[in-house]
Amino acid sequence: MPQGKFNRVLLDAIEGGLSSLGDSPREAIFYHLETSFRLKKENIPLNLSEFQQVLERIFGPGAPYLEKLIIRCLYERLGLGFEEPEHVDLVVYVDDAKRRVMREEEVKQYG
Amino acid sequence: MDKTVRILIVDDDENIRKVLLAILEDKGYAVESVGTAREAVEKSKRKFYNLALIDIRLPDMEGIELLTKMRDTTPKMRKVIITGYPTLQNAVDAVNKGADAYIVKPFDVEKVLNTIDHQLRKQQEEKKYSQDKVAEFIEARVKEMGMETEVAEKQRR
Repeated sequence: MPQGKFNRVLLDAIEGGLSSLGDSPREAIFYHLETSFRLKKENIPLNLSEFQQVLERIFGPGAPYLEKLIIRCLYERLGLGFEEPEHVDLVVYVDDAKRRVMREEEVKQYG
Repeated sequence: MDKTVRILIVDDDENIRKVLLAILEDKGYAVESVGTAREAVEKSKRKFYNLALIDIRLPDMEGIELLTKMRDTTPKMRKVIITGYPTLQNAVDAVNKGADAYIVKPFDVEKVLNTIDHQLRKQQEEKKYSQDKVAEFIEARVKEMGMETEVAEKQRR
């Protein structure tokens, strides 16, 4: 899967995860990311650590719950299995998803 | 009606389950039914139902007791008690244990549908209220963070 396509799926998963809070909270997050943190929605996949830090700063101990929802959305969209651990780290799991997708494609391509 | 509105019928009488299921599916709700309290608890743990219609007399547990069990595990699900024994005490107990409404058997279909519709609207209003509160919280938190940054910058100077 090309990087651009993966990032689109990731962004879609971020929207999906944040949507669990409702439409207005999701839009409020995107709005403040852009206006207060200079992070445009479409640039989140390239600045995932920054995005994660903002979530942690806004939601404190509630942030991992949102990260988990985003990860679950991402893994579902990519058709990957995901067993929910106690502690999640968005950046680590996104990297893992990327690696697994690439490995699966290599296997398909080269057998 | 949005198909994602899910209703769970909890009644040991198969005929009542079938009738309610047919009426509610006809109205476009996604409906599932169970005959025991145990099954209701299991199902509601696995999936979110917007509303449950719960018979007051179940084979393995009183419907009122089921309300107590479900109050903590499924706080957002609207719970409507169905009874063929409409006493004031039943009504008071049901409300105290977390019922949102009360339906009396034999059913007046229109009344059942109105009760469900009313409860779903209240659920939507509550959802909207919660979402507005979360959005307000985000707004306030971002402002706080801005102030924290300003203070930190002043201290650095």
